Amino acid sequence: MAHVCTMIPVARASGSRWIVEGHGVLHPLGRGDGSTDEDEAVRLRTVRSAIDVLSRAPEGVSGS
Amino acid sequence: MTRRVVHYLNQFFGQVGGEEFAHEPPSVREGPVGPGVLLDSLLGDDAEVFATVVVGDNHAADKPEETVDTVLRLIGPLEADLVVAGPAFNSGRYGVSCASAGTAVADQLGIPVVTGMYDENPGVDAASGIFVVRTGDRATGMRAAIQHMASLVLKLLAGDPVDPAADHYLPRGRVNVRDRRTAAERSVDMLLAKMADRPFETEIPHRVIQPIPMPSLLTDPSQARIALVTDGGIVEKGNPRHLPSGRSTTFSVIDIGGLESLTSDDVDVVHHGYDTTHTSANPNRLLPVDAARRLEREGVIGTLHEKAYSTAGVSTTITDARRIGRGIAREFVNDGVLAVILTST
Repeated sequence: MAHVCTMIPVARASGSRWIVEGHGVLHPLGRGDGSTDEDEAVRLRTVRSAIDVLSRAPEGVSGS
Repeated sequence: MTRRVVHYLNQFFGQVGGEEFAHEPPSVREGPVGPGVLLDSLLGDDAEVFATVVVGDNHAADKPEETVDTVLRLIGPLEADLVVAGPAFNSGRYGVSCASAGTAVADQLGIPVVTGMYDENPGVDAASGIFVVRTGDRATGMRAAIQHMASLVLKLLAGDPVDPAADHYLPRGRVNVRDRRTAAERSVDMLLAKMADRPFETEIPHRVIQPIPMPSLLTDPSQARIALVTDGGIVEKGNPRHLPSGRSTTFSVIDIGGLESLTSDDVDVVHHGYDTTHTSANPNRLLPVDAARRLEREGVIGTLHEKAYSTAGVSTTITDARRIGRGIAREFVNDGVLAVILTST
């Protein structure tokens, strides 16, 4: 499981091993203040990161 | 001499507003606000809440280092004798905010800090070197929480001895006890007892954390069935199964088979722990169906599982959360799902 979230200490405390940094509590997979294209680009990049980390041994938090 | 107490609150209890003001940066105002008024009255003539720092929950969650730096700059010059944070009850963002700011104040300003929260609040794990008074899980217990916190504050300011059980705070792993033996002698006595299978009592209690086994790595995503899960509260349109907006005991199953993207025509967002404006406007921000479909078309992943899962992760007990997780996992095993992307707000 890849965990996309903003509150990373909480994710760690709950046992998540693959963590991908989200883009804010209110819109973890998107840009609340961006254009539609930017919103989609952020989401695609983050989901790619999530798939990528699942095939690597956990090292910490992955940026997206 | 009246001692000076600073109170740290979020935007709601600081009377700025609800979730729509959760982005508020740290600010300071004179005197007590909200529950600080009760706190101030219970401190009597010995202490007063002379200032209140208010920080939006989302500001603290999205910018934790910046928030702590700003809070230290605001509190530093105030010459406080003690800082009270919260109580946060079972509010996760607020609890972590209280714990992070409080820990920094205690560590870097040398000011004692008292906060209050429910045992299961994730802020408990984030707190270090501060007093965490046990509270109930909801704000209906405000009066009792403030009473216990005020009582502890007065004892600390007076230099009186305090005790976790008597003063209602979570054990901090530190107990002041006189013993004729040195620490080295006590340690060796414990080791000898352990080696001889005799009973002994550790001086440092360990918080028992249930180990989570390391899962297998995903060796070939292009052949894998990938599923999407969120605790952001997505439900079927109209919420036909009346799933609650918090304190969840179950999960919803969203049929995304054949969908290229999620829209507000397909689902609703039901969650009382955050402002759902952005996720309601575009539910892909919680369940990234559009992005996952694209990766499926590109061959990066094998198949996007046709069922997505959701619950509302606010004030959900750890026991219920584990049960929900196991229930979802069982369905994934039955359906051949190899990996999951979980999105949290």
